[in-house]
Amino acid sequence: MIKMIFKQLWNQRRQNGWILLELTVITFFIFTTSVEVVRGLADYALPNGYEKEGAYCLQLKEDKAYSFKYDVKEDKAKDSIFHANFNQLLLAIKGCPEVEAVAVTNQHSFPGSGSQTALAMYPEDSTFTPLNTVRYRTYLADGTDFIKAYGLTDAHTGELMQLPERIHEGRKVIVSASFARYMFGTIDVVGKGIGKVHNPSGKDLQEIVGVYQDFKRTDFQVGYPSILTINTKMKGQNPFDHFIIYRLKEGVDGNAFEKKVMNEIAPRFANTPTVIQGIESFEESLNWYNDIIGVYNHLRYTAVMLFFVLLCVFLGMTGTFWVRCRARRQDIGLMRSIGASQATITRQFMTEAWMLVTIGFLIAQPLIIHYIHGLKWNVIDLTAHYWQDSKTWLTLATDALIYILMMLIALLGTWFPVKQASKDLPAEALRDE
Amino acid sequence: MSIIKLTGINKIYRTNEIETQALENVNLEVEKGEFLSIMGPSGCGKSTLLNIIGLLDKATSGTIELCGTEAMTLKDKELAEFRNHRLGFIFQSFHLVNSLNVIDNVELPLLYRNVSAGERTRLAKEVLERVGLSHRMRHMPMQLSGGQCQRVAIARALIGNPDIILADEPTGNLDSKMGAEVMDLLRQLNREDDRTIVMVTHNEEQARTTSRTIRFFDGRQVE
Repeated sequence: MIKMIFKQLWNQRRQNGWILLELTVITFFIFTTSVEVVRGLADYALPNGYEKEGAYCLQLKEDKAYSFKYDVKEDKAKDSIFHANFNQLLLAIKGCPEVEAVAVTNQHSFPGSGSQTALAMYPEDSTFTPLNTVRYRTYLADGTDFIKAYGLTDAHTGELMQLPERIHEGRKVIVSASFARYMFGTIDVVGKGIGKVHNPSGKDLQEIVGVYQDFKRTDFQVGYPSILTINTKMKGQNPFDHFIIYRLKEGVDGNAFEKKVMNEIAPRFANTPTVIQGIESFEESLNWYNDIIGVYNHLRYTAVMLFFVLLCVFLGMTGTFWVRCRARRQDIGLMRSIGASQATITRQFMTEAWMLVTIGFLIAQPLIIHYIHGLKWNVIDLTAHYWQDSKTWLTLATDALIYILMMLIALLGTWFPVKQASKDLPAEALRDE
Repeated sequence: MSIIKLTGINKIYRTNEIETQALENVNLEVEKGEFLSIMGPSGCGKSTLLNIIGLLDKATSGTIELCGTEAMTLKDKELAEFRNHRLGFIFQSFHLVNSLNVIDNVELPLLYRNVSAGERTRLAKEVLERVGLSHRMRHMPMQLSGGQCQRVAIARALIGNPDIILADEPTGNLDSKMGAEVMDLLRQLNREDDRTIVMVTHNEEQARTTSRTIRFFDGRQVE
């Protein structure tokens, strides 16, 4: 049957040329719109790498007008009232029975940062090309546990990580799974050294004491290689460049606790330069960040485009296959007169539609490859730790999706008219002019 | 024994406004090996009758028995199988599939019978040789004359070795010479294979060469 259909298609290649051209253009067009959606959804499907639920970020601000006599620069240099306030606040939060864990991070750390700091990192004793890495920083105050506060998970077990024992010794670093893989090819990297200079050694080295599962700064990104550096002292740094992160115990109402902080703890700092600007849940921070980087708008736009493309394709292809079936009503009558059942005819036309879509799809592939590779489509193609980072895998996945979509459309567009036409009495179909 | 037996066949075409009786109480028996011609003026119901015998159309009432089978009760799949194995059609306008060459057109009925490709080709060659078209096997229908197209249609009707051949004005679109050739071929099939043929024709001369002629007028058998 397939051979016979192929012969028919080949013998009518001129007439089929138009429909193949249409299918080729459609394949390419759907690909260009759906590839971004595939990428976005693949990123979204990845685990966050941390526990969003129950985590909050307390934002501070310095009140520069609190006293005209107050010298901010002087205070920072002396590490006095700023730091005293900050530590009092940290202790106050930590001391609340509702709080499970607290942590301190700088403003360029996740969450809530529109910007991030990047570093080129080198492994010890290696000529490895430096790996551009996102750096997050935490400040180890007494009793803080940033791992529990964030809910970071262990790269090996997928379970909640434990605070590494030697974390307080200084010059320790925790790295993400992708960082470990890209730099060392494995996640078994505890004990290895990395540094900010080529061939680091001695004082330049920081020791890896843990590996966390990649965490995503937004829902629509993969977790890029990152490191978490640990500062054991805040001296010399402005506390207002930091956030207090806290995790509430299970079942505690976040809003009620926020009110408690604002009503009971914030007034204690009324006559100090420390102002509690607000409290944001990780969920809100993420949404805010997703908004400012425009990923929602971009995805909305792409999804709407894809919807309209699919709608147009559905209407266009259904129309094409409909006309094609109706034009061959006589053939259908003849087929029935020589022994084809309605099911056989439906199967034959569906097979024909499948072959046309497949040929059109295959012809479109060089265009798609040119689009992805030749035009340097903006895909980060590292060593493809995530399949969606690889142009090849992303193309294959998108191709698979659009092939299924096109097939469904073609088969639906064929099934209805053929089913109808094959129900006609053969005598009527044969009379059709 | 009758190979075709029609009893009380009526066919009424209904539209919203008009009701047309195409056939009225037709009773007909055709014996195996008979060559029957059906004659009558245009619109008298000849082709409708042939279509009903060939199970391409449904009678409004009456019964049809073909090769001992009560045909009115057959389901779609059984109908398709019955047409494929027992009936062969030859149409006035040939109804060849233009996108397939001669041999592929001839092979079509066997394709629906799931005969292997090699066997299909062998049988198609054999039957094309019989209708004198073995040298045109790879030609497309558009490259053939009307007479040749009708021979291809005859070959297609023959390949499944049917019990009954139904021909609807098989020479209607051919000139007299080609028409005569096609008629010779049909007579040969009837004579040599003892095949039952029912043919609709306008041609009195052709009808005289068949074993029996019946005439229709306004949907009724008049002779």
